Amino acid sequence: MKCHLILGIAAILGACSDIVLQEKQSIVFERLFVGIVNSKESIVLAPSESKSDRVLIGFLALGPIGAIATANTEGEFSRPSASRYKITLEANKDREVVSYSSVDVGDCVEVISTTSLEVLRVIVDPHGCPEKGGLIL
Amino acid sequence: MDVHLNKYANHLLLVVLVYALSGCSNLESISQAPPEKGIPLYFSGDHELIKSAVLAAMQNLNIHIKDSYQSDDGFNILFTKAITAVSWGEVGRVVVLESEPSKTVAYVHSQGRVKAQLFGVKEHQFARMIDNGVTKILADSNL
Repeated sequence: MKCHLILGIAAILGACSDIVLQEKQSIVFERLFVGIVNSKESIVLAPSESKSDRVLIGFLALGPIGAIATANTEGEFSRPSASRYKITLEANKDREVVSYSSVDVGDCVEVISTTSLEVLRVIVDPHGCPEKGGLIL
Repeated sequence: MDVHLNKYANHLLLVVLVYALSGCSNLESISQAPPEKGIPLYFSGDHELIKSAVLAAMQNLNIHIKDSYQSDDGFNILFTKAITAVSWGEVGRVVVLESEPSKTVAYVHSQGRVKAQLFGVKEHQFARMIDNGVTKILADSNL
């Protein structure tokens, strides 16, 4: 009986775990468009790892002590932050992009598609930035 | 006798946990580490492209990016790796900075949430995976 219980807990822990560091899929890095950053706003994204998940795993592994320990190791688990940018492509045409990149209003940027949020690359060379921006694809 | 042993084991577990958790790492402690702490990865080429590639490579790993910001030290990316059956999880930071024109260095620093934890992903493994991702992007990129 005890053995079954241990196996059951091990199976749950295994299912909840993501033990190995690995790539989610083949890397994507594709240019979408170029534009000028018009506005920037800090935002909080949806939780990627919740405190309750951690507490549950802590509890399954070590009982109440494990739950308390996991609950106290970090306060801000569920609040990843990023920035929401408005990118102006041409007159009166804005695109909204949410990204972990950190760029400034007025920067000319290339918006790059990845496997997750888009990435913004600042174009330093003035010749690389069309005055009004534009679609690449 | 068994009851006494169980009590003793529970007390011992509590002491071990309190000791282990007294050396906990979190996003705050990791973000306050010196910028050049960790494993340096060196890249040549456009700094902005490499900065983007580092971020894209990290986004493709099974980690959680928690925050990113530009400071005087460079572009900082804070991340966590979730708790698993064998570890309490990890916290980490990558600082990307232009060391000289056309030379970029990314310092990959991570720690177990509990410093005494034996298992889990180590700093050199994060560094290797990020390095692999950036190298792949730069090789495929025609930007």
